[in-house]
Amino acid sequence: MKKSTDIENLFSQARSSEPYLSNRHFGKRVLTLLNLHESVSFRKEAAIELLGAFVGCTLAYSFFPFTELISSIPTKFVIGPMTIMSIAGGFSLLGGIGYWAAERSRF
Amino acid sequence: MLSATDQALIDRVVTTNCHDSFGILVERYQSDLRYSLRQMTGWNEALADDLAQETFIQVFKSLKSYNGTAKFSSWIYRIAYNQMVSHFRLARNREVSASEELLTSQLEQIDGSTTSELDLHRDLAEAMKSLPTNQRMAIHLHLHRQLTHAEITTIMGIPLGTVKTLINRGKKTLRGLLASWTPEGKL
Repeated sequence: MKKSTDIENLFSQARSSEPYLSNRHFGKRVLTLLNLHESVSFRKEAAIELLGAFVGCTLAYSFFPFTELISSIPTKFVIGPMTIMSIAGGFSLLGGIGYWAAERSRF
Repeated sequence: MLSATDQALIDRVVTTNCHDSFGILVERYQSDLRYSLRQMTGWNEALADDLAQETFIQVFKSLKSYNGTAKFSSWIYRIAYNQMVSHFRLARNREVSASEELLTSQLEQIDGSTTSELDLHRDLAEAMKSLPTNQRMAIHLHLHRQLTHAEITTIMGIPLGTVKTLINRGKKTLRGLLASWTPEGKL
């Protein structure tokens, strides 16, 4: 089959020598994937998640010191002139950095 | 169980969700489908096997809708064609050629094929790569699988005239590409 290859001939040659591709790993992989796709239904999955959430909340409630946490939240806030100045300074600094970044990217 | 007809196996899968029966169907059709997909993907074995895998999973999911009007193999090819088209549409740029290493490692799995025969298959796949996806499919189904135009129409979901045009154009292009093909000289 040198020059002027007959396309039909070439395909017929390919057909007659078509290799058999082993199913050993492929078939197993397909069936494993099917099991994964099918293993848990939506309802079952939702039920498992709800159960997990319930167990998690119960454990958290019994072990976590909620009362201490709540008592540690301050009930009074005192804002002095220094705090206001610090906050204002922080905002000014952020604004300055923002402006510098915007101007820098323009050039 | 191995000698059961396709329809009997399909019925068993649909009614009892029997994975073993589906395994037999996979075994029956996997080699042909994987080979065809290799031809469609420029002999990219990993991609072809992924597409074949997805195809069989889709076949399992929609087996209930198979009504037996078309051949089961044609129905599988239809699903495979749709998988392939959507893959190429989504990841057109991610298509990569199979590496020599991958080919060599998988040679052991191929029964009864010499290296020069394998060259022919790879070279055909390489040449087919230059055709558009629909031409590739039409040419492969017609010249390799020897399906009729009507069967190709069913698989690809396009009119008969378009199938004929695709085959004629594909043949013309391939003739040019494979004009001086020799097992040693490649393309």
